[in-house]
Amino acid sequence: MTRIVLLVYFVLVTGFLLLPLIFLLPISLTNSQFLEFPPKSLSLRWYREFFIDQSWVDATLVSLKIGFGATAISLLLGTLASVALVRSNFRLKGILTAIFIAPLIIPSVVIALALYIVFLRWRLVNNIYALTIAHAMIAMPYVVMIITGSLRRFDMTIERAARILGATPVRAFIHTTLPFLTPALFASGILAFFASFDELIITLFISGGLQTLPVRIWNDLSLKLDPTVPAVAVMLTLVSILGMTVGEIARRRNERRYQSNPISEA
Amino acid sequence: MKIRWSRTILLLTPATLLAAMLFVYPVFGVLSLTVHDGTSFTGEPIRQVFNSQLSIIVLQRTFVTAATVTLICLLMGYPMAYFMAGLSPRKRVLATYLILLPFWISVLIRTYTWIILLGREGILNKALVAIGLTAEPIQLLYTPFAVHIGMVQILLPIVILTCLTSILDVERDLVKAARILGATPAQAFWKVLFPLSVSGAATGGIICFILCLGFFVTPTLLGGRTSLLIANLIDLQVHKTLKWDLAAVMASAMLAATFTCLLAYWMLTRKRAEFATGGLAR
Amino acid sequence: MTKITRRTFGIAAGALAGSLAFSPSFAEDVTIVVNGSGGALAQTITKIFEEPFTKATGIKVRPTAPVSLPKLKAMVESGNVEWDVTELNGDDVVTATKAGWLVPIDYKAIDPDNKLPAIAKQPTALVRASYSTVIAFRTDKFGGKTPQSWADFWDVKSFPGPRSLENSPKGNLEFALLADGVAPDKLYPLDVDRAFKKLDQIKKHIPVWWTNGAQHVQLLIDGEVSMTSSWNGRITPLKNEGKPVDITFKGGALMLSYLGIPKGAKHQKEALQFMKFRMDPVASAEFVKQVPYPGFVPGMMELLDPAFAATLPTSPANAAVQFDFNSAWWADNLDAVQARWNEWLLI
Repeated sequence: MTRIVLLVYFVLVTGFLLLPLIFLLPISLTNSQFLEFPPKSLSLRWYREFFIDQSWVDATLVSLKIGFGATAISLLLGTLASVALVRSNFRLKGILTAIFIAPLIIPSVVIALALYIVFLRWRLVNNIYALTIAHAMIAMPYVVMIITGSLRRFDMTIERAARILGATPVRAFIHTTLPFLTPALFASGILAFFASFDELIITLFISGGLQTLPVRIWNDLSLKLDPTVPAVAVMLTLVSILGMTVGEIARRRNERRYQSNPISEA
Repeated sequence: MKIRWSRTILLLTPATLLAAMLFVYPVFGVLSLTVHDGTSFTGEPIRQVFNSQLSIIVLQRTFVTAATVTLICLLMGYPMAYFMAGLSPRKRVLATYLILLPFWISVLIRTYTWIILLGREGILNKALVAIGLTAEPIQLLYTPFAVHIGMVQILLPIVILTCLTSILDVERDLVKAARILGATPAQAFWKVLFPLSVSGAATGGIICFILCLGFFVTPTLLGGRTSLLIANLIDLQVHKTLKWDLAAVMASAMLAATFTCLLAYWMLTRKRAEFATGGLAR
Repeated sequence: MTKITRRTFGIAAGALAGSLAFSPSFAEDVTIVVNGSGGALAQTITKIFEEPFTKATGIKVRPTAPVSLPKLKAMVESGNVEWDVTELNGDDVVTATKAGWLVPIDYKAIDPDNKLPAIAKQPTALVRASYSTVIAFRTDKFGGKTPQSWADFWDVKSFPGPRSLENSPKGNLEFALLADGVAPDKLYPLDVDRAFKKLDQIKKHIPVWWTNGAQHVQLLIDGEVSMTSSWNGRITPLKNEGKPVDITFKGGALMLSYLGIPKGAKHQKEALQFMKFRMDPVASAEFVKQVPYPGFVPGMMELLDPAFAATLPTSPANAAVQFDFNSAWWADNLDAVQARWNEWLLI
């Protein structure tokens, strides 16, 4: 009974979350230059526009590149730091944790201005690597918060047992703690990726001529917003659904071969 | 288990370097404008900001909005996570996937969609009129209601994801054990799973709360004139009036207020291990 | 965005190449950074101005966006200047000139034959475009009546329905005074108290104060408001699609947009060359056909269809019913008025 109530609840809330997406599809299919619902006439005009206007395609690719780069860097650095924060005791621990979380608290526009001033000095404006690392910096708080939380819940006796049985610390960590952390790593990786993928204010300041997707949209917003923007949103969603389906099929094949799937625990 | 000192340094160095170079050093430069005008110390910016009613009211409004949005997200998000944790791994992946789909759409465009849906001639108002709940279209946009809808839609997936992580961390065997030992499902939930997973929910709540404090686009586009938050005011000082010292004072005040809230939370829950969060270590 | 046809594009490029044939030095490896508002507009600027410029001079152009006064301040104060040319609004020019962030412009390089009108040639900035902030309204909401003035905008009895204005004191104070009966040529210096008193009357009829160009257009399309202040350029395409909207230039604020060179810019000589290039009548006419914000390029208006030229903010008939927005007054008073505006609006 409870499960049925929860299922209905799940469907309702998911519907709410997907509501903008559901309406973006018809909005993107309009023939008008403006966003309207319901559309008066249907056309694929704005999907064509995306591929004709090279700056949209470029912006999408730049956003994906930076997103993946920033996720990898912040996951690695954030996880290493989290292990130290949870498992050792030192005087500056509180302050260090606060510093790792603070980029989430300081309003983006202040970080943006501050980064712009030093990036000008270091000649890093308009540099995609610098931009990626800056995104990693703002994504790291998610990783640190989620991974330290998860590590505290981890029952250390298991890793201790591995150590007693003669495993090196790194080996013991990889074989006991890391599998336990999989859901947390997945969650923080997702949040880190989208923190970068949707970052606007800081990128506006330090990206120079590089345009990420949010910057491209924002620049349109100052004068005109045409249905290319919903078209991009719909296409990204479709690509991600496609990727998910392919991944799922590949995983099932794999699973049949090995009969185990730790990833699905996420 | 304690790890060796040298190893601690090795683990911390990369992240600390990143934070020091790209956060502490640059941001300190700007925040120091709070009390220093480049040549000498001054109290003028602080005096200017707190002489004006406006910053205090907006700061208050920001914290109240953040609290209500966080509460809504937690109340909506935890049952979602609980339901998803009970699914088979394959279905859970699918459900997680659905929850995360909105992430692919820029916050900017999601906010624009709400403008179209919630408008006076939007689909929601048309539906309300059609079923006779109201004769005249009601003002939904540019109210705190619209701001809350927009913010919850953006933040809810984050809260669900962190809650789900913590529920999955609690070993399902523990719940099973409780059931074998004769606990009813309700007892197993309230006595075992819930207390053990609260810490994850708290992490999600804290992330959500902090993110709310910095919201900028949603209040601008969905809120009326009295819905603007502190980030909007800071942006105004950075972009329009170029008074960066005033922006610095507001950002510092916000940082201080946020850490005070977090500290208060950790003090209150210090004795309760289940609330242990990814926050200040003890 | 409509694409520029290859033919007109070729003509423009050819004309430009001809006009610049005298410039002997082909600095192959120089790239100038030109900062503008970006978005779809940037594509048009690249095709009409930047690509032909590179072809003619060998100087490459890297466009950046958006226009940002804090960036200008940061780069000049730190001595590491990112841009060589940037777009600027009127009062930004005044602020930046006072602060010493812009270099004086050598008009002998841009306008050797002295053909540009004096109004286009500010000491530190060259007029690039003009636009108007006007009243835009729904034609289907007032029973056939059309608002003709800011007094009508304030008249919620004859013209019922919610309205919108920009979230900025600039322009709005002038509109309030016009609505209150002040003559357009007596506006400045603004009577700030009187303006705020008049704004008090309309405040509760304004559910939303817009902040960007896309937003106020959306408000009209969605029927969220029946009247709003608006930039002149975006309503015509709406009208062309058959949407029930229109604008009146009556009481509009004629505003100018400029190009300037930041102090310490690395390629000032090439920046001037680029600004000269922007003053070509053929290319400018092509540009205005896409984006109806004309500058004062001599010979450009003659290349336009007269019917289209009459819809531009600077056409004689339209210019006569508008007032010239006084950027200098605003630069002097912005700090105080903005602070008062924020308190008035946000509490």
